[in-house]
Amino acid sequence: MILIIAIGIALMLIGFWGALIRKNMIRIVLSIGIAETGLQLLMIGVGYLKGRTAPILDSAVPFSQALQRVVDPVPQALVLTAIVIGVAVNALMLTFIIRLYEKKKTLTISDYRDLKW
Amino acid sequence: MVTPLYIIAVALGIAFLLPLLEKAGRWVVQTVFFLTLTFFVGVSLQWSVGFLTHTVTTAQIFTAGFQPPISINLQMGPLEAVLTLAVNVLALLGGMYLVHHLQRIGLQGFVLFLLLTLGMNGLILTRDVFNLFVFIEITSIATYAVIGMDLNTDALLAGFKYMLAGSIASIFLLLGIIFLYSLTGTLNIDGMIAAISNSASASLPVITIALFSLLFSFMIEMKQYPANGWALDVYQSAHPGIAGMISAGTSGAMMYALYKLMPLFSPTWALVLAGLGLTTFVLSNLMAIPQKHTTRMLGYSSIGQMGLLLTVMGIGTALSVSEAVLLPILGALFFNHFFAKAGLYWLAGVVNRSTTDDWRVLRGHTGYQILLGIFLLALLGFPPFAGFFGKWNFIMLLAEQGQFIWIGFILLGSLLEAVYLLRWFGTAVRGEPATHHPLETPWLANVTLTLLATAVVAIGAIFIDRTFSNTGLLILPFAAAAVLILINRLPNVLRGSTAIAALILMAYWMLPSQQGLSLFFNIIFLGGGILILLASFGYPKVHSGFYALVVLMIGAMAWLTRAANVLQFFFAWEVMTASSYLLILQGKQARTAAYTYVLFSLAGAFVLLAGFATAHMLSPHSIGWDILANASTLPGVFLLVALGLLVKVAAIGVHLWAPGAYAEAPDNATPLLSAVLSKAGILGFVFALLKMGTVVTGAVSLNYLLGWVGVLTALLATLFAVFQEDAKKLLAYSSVGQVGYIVLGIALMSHLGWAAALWHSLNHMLFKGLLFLAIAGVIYRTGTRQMYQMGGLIKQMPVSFVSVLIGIIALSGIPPLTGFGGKWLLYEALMEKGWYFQTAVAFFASTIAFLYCFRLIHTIFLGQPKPALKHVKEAPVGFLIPQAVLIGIILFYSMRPDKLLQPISAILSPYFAPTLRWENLTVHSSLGYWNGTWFMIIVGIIFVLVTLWAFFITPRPQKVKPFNIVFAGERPERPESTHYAYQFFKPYERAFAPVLKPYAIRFWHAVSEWTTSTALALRTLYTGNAQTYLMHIFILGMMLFLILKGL
Repeated sequence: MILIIAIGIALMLIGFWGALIRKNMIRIVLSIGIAETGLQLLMIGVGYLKGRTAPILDSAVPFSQALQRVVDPVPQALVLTAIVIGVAVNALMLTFIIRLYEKKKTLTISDYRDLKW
Repeated sequence: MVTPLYIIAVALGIAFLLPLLEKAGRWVVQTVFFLTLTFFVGVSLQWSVGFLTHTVTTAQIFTAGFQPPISINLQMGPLEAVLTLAVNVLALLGGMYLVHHLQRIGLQGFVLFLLLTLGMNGLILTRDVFNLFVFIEITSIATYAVIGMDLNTDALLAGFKYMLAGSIASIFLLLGIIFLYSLTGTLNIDGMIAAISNSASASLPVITIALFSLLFSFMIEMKQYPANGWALDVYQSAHPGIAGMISAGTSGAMMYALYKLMPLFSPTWALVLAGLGLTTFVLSNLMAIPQKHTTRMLGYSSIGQMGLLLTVMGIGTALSVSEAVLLPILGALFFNHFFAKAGLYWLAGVVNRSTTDDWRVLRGHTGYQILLGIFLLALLGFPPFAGFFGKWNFIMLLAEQGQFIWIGFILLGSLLEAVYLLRWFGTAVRGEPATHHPLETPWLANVTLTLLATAVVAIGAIFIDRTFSNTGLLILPFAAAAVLILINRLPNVLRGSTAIAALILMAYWMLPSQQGLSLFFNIIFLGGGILILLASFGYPKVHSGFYALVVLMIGAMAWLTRAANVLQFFFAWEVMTASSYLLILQGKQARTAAYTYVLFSLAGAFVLLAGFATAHMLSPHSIGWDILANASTLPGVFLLVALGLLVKVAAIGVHLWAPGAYAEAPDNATPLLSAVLSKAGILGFVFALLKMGTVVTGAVSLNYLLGWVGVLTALLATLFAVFQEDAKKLLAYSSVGQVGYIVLGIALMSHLGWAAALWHSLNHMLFKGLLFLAIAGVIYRTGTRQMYQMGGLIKQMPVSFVSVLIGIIALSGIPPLTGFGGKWLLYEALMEKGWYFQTAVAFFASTIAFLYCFRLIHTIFLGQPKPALKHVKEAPVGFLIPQAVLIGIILFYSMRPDKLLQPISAILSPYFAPTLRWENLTVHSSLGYWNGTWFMIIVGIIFVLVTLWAFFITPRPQKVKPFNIVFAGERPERPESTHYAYQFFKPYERAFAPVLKPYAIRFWHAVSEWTTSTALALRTLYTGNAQTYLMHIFILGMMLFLILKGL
């Protein structure tokens, strides 16, 4: 699981790096998306317990053994929520970019400096 | 009790229901929308009332029938109840304010608004960190979307920047949450706090990273420096209605969320937070100074206020201040800002002008001006608003803990905030008239603004009520002012009589219970106020609000004399500052003068406050006057208090405000300012020095320095007065100089010195009131303040001439009038003390005073009458009555100085051993004696003889025709330059040139330039590039991490 956490952290750093150096607004949003994915991996990694299965109660995991057999369900629930929210925000950002593009016909972030000081 | 869970359930339910209701028609949607918001208000109101009446206790609401950590739980305690009430009231008012905007957006607008409200309520109620994250996102997404609905490029751009920042904040929030969860095994805030504080693992690096991530996320959301460029853009370009909701509601809810998490952080971390908040507070207010765009300027202010609140919270945790102390401070600052800032944004929406310069359109819209004034004065922490109590209590708290540097920066930040907010106010009230595009005045917005202002006032009233025990007398000036504003439309005579009746009522209630120095000064304040106010009957029309402000100002000064402790004193002091500022601002050209006045006054007040705080540091259990008694152990107290008061008496160097304020104030207000208001600083000195005594630091006695300041003020102000062309400016400088003598007398700290000071305080009130009233009459008739445009008015205005004559004789200190008594006492006192050099300078100064006295009477009343002023009549009788009374008093005290000097001696005897001895009507000092009555008689006889002699030697006086001047064929370009009275004392001016260089003006000008250019340089940080803003966020994170890790 250390590997997953490490990948998660690496993805986050890559995402931040991309958000800081890419000039194209869509790429910045995608970078943020990558960072969020890294975070989600990390969250799952933190909640993982070695040798256990997904916290889904079905025929494979009887109710009586659930506590011994599954990983911590809370981080998983958190990740699901985080994914949904992340998707919503990213989608909204992309719509804003579309609107902005319609007005100014450019995607370069440094072209949008009307508000300053 | 309706469980608050219904707020969430109903909000979600209605939000989904609204699209279905759209079929039924727009009005159904709107009705349901407002019913929902009203329901929220109802729920939180019910809980608030419950907590207030102690009929309910804090309720924990568990979801799905489980206890934490399994379930998510909400908490409804007193804090939550009040906060949700505020947020829901704001939402209801915001809904009303924004209804047209939401209609334009369409159905989505209403849905998003409900979700925004839901998010804010959830943020306040939840006790679960993950739930907190969800509510932050609900609030944020709703806000992003509402901003984006505007569809203009700026709003979209700002929304995009907001989302980038919000995404980073969310990532770090989740990071923190997941680490904290893995370490504590719970998402419940209380569970986490318990686990962190109990576990030995609190020093693990993982915990540091977890807590850092959480904190960093909140610092972004709370818009701390430098990670706040995006917020400025949002405040600037979002619809002001939305910006107001974000600034007050969202930020407020976010702040409370952080408040819940504060126990997780160690005291050192909290101190770092406080430092960051303070940096934000000072820098945002600094950077706002050159800002001309209204809503962006308000954005800087909003960010600054968040910084201040963070400082209070951080300090509270760092110094483990009890909630009983901390909450009132936070509450006062928070709710004051909450409603005032929302009001300002919304008002900006109604006025709808992008730059502050264009707020000139408010000229004539008195209602909006009053609203703007209430919101701004509240935001700046003027009494009677709650912000005053918040700042006072916080500063005293810091003083108790010895945190002096914090006090300095908080006061600095507050002053910087006043610099740009009051400049804006000046433009809105007294800007150049603009080309008029009529202002739209939507009634619904007006109602919401009025309600917000009412809320601001009500919160202030709550804090007044809980701070002062005897509010009865305190209310009277405010009540009288309110009544006077209500009867604004009635005839002048009625309004004036009401105002005078209010002052008489105050005198009736206050004076009998007062004695000694308090009584003496209160007689000057109330008596002088009543007398001078009589003159307003002479005006056919008086500014609306004039009487209200005068009553408030005089009332505040009367409170000053009764102040039992420094808090009451400072409260009254600030009411006085605010009301006198507004009074000066009523002058037609008074924008700059009033601005200078209020900035100097505020700076002085803050220095005074710092002095009180330093004294409080020495005796942390009291705020009585006695705290000043320890000043000898810490000379800083004396220096700060004296400096603060010196600003008020316009001592040399900080006198810049005085000439402009006196000259540009309305003509009927100037006599009050000069004769009465200028004595407030003297009263402050009297109260403070009685406790502090003579303070010696090193080899220097601070009183000795104060004495020099007084005498130099007298000298230089007198010199400046000599070279003025403007009659009111001449008298203004003269006032400054005369008050300099009083300061000199006070600084002597002896019986004679104080007797001279008290004598001169009363005398100055009498003759300067007289002079300003007489000059006001002349200006009223001639329509000019320039003396060289007058001349020869003695024939037309003989009574005014006599007034000025009596006034200048009393002023110049020559026998037989009262001025002589004051001078005699002062010189005796100076020599008794051995201050010979000061005596010489004071004597020199009062000789120079003859020059301007002569000029005043000669240029205005003697010489050739101007053809244009041929038909000028004597001043209205309303002006003359108070002058007659003042002359009567002056003559009485000149005849019988014992009637004044004996009571003064008696007042002072408890403090200084009397050195004056009486034999019938002759007073003996250690150096000589003086019999005022005989003086009067002898001088009277000489006067009669000389007049008769002059009459006999010139039996046939010859009349000189006006304008016998020959231009020798040339027409002068500036006709006034041929007038004998123009630049009357030019030769002297050349002689004194080196002394008269405007050093003080240059100095303060440089201060202002430096401030502005620093601000301009600093704000280039906000390049407008969203990516740079991201960079700032990471820089903040990096620095925070390094600092926190290092601790």
